[in-house]
Amino acid sequence: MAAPAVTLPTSGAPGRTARPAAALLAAPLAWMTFFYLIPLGLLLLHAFWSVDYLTVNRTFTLDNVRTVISNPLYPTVLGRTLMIAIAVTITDIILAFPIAFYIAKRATKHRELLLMLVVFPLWSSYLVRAFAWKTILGTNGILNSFLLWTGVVDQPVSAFLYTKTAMYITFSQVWLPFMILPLYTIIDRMPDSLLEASSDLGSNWFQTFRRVVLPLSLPGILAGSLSVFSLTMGDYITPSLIGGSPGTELIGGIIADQFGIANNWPLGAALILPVLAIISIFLLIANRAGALGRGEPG
Amino acid sequence: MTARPDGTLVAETVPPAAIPVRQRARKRRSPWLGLASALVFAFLYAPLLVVVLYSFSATKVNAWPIKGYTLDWYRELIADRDIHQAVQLSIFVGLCAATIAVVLGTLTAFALDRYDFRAKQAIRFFVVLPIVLPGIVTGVAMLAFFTLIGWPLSRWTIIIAHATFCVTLVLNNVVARLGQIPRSLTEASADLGASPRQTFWRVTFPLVRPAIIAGAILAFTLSFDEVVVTFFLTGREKTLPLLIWGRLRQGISPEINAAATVIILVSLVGVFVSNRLSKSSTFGR
Amino acid sequence: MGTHEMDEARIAQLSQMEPRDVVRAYRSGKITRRDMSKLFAALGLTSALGPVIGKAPALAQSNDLTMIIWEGYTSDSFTVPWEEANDANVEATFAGSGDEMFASMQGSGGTTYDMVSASSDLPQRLYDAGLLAEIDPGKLSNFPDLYEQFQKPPYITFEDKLYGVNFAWGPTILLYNPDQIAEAPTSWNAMLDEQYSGKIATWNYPLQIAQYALLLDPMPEDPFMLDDEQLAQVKDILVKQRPLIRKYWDLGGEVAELFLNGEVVISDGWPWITLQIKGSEGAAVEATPEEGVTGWSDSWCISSKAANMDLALNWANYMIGPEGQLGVIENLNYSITNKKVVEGLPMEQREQLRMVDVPAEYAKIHMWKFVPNYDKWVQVWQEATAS
Repeated sequence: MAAPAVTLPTSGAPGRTARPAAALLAAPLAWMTFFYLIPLGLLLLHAFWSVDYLTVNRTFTLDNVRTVISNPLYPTVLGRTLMIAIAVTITDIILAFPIAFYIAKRATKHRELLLMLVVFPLWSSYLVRAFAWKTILGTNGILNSFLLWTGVVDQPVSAFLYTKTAMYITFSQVWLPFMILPLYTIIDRMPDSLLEASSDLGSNWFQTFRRVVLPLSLPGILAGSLSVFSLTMGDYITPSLIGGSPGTELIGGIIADQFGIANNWPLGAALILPVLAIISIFLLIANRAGALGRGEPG
Repeated sequence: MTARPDGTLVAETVPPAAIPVRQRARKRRSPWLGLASALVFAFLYAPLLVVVLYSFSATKVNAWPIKGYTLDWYRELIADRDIHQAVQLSIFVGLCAATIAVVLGTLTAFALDRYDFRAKQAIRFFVVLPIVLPGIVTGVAMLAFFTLIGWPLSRWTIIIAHATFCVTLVLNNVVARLGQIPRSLTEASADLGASPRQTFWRVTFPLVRPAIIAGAILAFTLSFDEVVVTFFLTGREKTLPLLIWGRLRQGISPEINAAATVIILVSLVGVFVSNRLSKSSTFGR
Repeated sequence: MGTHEMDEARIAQLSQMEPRDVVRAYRSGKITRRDMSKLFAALGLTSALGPVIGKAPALAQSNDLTMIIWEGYTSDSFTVPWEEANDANVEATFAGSGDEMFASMQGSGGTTYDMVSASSDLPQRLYDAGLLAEIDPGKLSNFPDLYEQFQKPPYITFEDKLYGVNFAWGPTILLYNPDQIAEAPTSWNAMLDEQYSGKIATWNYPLQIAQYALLLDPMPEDPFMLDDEQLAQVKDILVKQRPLIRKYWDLGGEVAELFLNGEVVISDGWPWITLQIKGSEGAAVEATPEEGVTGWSDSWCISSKAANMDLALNWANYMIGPEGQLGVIENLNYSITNKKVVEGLPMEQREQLRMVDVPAEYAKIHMWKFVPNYDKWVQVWQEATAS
C-alpha cells in the first residue's frame, strides 16, 4: 500500500505557524480528499443524473429529486424511518441513563469491569447480534417457547418478529452502547458536590435529575443520539433480517436496493439527499452544543 | 460501521483537568438505580447469551428449552474451508486498514495538537464525517468512485474504505493522549539539551504509544466486523462478515452461532488487551 | 485478460477522451485494466496507488471460479467431484433475484464473478451491458446432446451468436404446509386468502408481477407484456396482499426456514425449496394453480472479463453432461436439457419432471423473459411492497 512514512515535525518547540502542520497533514488530507470527499461529491452528482436503460446518462436533470418528493412512497418510507430512528434514540437515552449514572457515580469497585461490559457488545459481531433477535422473537423462537412453557400465553405470539416492533427492539439493543458511553463520560465529569448541593437544598431525586443532571448531560445526550440516529437512518441489514418487508420498509433498504438490485444509482443518490440533510442538521446542532469533542485538546 | 464508537469521541477528548477528584458519596442509596442498571445489562447481553447457548444446541430449530447439546457445529466450523479463507481475508484487511489508519490518524493528531492554525476546527469536523454519516453513504459513494475511475473491486478497495473511517478512531485516541502530556515534560527534555528529535523519540512517542496501539486495535476490530460498507465494495473474495451475511440471508444456521461464539471469545481478548493498554496510559491516577 | 501494451500515443489519445467514454470503452473491453492504470498514472492521479491496481490481477490468476447463482446449483454432490478433477475451487454467491445478479455482475465491470446462472429474462440485459462473453459450442463436448430447443434458444442468442449454455428449467409453483392447509389450493388466489393472514410469504422479486398478472380478468395473453393499466391492476392485487404477508423473502433457504419454523403455511417457490423443507423433516407440498404458472429456463453465462475462460467453459460443459444434469435432478428436482440423459431416465421420473414430451410441457409454462418496461415493474413492486 502507499502508506507514507511517518514524517516527524522538523521544528523544535511547538511552532505556531501553519507550515509544519501542513507537512503533517498532507498525507491524511490527500487521502481523505481523494477517497472520501471526491467520492461523496460524485455520489451527490449522481442525484442529478438519470438512468438510460442500463447506463447512467450524465445530463443534468431534476427528475430524481422530483420523484423523491412527489412519489408518495418515498416521503412515507422516510417518515417511517424517521419515526423509528427517533423512537430508538429516545429509548436508548432512557435506557442509558441509569446505567451511565450508576457506573459514573455509584460503582466504585467494579467500575472498570462495568465499563468494559458496556463496550464489549460493540466488539462482537453486529450481524450476529441482530440475527440473535430473530432466534429470540420467532413464532417458535425462544421468547415464545418460553412464554408457552411458563403458561403466560397458550398460543405463540407472531407479533414479535417481522414487524416494526422487532426492528425497534433490535435497533435499541444493538446501538445502546453508543448512547451509554458519551452519557457516562459527561456524568462522570459532574462534580458530586453539585448533586449533593441540590439534594441539600431539598430537591428530591427527580428534581435533581431534571434541574441538574439532565441539563448538564445535554452534550452527551446529543453525541450519543447522533450516533444512534445516524446508524438507524442508514441501516439496511437489520430490516431485511428482522422486518417483514423486503428490507425496503426503511429508507436504508430502499437506497441499498437502488445500488445493489434495481441498478438505479441516480435515484439512490437522490434518496440519500434527504438523509444527508437530516443528519447534517443534527450534526450542526451537536457541533454547536460541543458534543463532537473540542477542536483543541488540553 | 456497525460498531462505530463515535460515542467514545467525547469520552476520549475530556481534558483531564475537568475530571473531578472522585469523592465517595456517603449518602444512603436507593436500590432502584442498581436494579434498573442490571435490567438494562440483561437486555444488552440477552442476544449474546442466546448465540453462545444455542451454538451447543443439538437441534436446528431454536426453541426453548434446549433439547440436547452437541459440539457438532464447532466440528463443522473447523472443517469449513470457506470460513477459513474469509477469516484470513478479514485479518489481512483489518491489519492493512489499521496500519493506514494509524499512520494517517497519528499524523493528523500531531498536527492538531502541536500547531495552531485556522482550519483546525474544519479539519476536525471533516475527519469525523466518515464515521458520523451512515455507512451506506460511504459505501455507495466509494462504489461510484471506483467504478468511475475503473478500479476493479478487490480486497484493496475494502481496505481503502475501512482505513478511511478508522482514521477518526486513532485520531481521537492519540489526540486525547497528547492532550494529557504536560508541556513541562517536553520542555524539561529540551532544557536538558535533548534535540527535538530525541525529545520526540525518547519522551513523546513512548508516552503516546499505548494510545496508538489502542487505536489500532479498535480500528482492527471495527474493520473485522464491518459489513454495511464492505457489502458494496467487495470483489472476488469475501470477508467473514459478508460470508456470515450470505448465510444468514439463507436462514438460521447453528454453525454461524458457533462462529459467532468464537468471534465473541476473540473480542473478549481484544477488549481485555486494549483495556489494559488504556489503563497503563492514564497519568498519575 | 488481454495485456497488449500501449504506446505513448495511445495514452495521449485516451487522455483526450471524455471520462465517460473511457469508462465505456473499459467496460466493453476495448481497453484493459492495465491500460486504465497506465492512463491514470499518466494523468498523475494514481501514481502513488499504482500497486493497488497492479496487485489485483495477481489474485485472479488462481483456479478459482467465482459465480453468482441460484441456490443449489453448486450442490456438493456434483460440484466437489468436478473441483477435484480440475483442481479448481468454486466460490458461489447465492442471489435472491435476477436483478441482484445483474447488479452484482455489473459492479466492477464484470470482474467480480466469472459466471452467472442467468434465467431466461436476464441474458438480454447482461448482453446489452456488454458483460457477456460469446460461447463457442464447438468447445462443449456435451452440446450436441442437448434438445434442439435448448441449443440456441432466443434468450441466449444475440446476433446469431451464443451467450449461454441452457442447462435447467422448471416452474414457480405454489407451496403449502399440508398440516395446516388440508385441501390443496387450486388458485393463486390462495396467496390472497385472508384465512391465512400473517402466514403467507411471497418472493421479493418484481418479475413475480407476471405470476400475479395470471389472476387478472381477462388474463393477459403474455404476462410479461403488461400495459400500464394491467400493471395498475396487478398493483391493486399486491397492495391488497401486503397486510396478509408475514415476510417477503429473498432466498429459497429463507422461505424453507419460514416453513420449518412455522412462520408461514403458504408461499410461491421452486422445487428446490420443497426438497430443502422435506430434507429437514418439515412438511411441504407443491401445487400447480389452475391459472397456470410462470417458470424459468436457466443458462450458464460467462462474464466477458472472466479470469479463467477455459475453466468456465469446462464447468458449463460439465453441467450439461450426465453428472451435472443428474446432479440437478437429484439435488434440485428441476427439469434438464440434455436429451441423452433424459432418455436414460425411468419413465416415472420423466413424468414427474415434465420430461416425457419436453417441447409440449415447456410450452405450458409462461417462461420468464426480458420485460421491456421493467423499470415500471420495479416501481410498481416497490410501491406495493414498501408503502
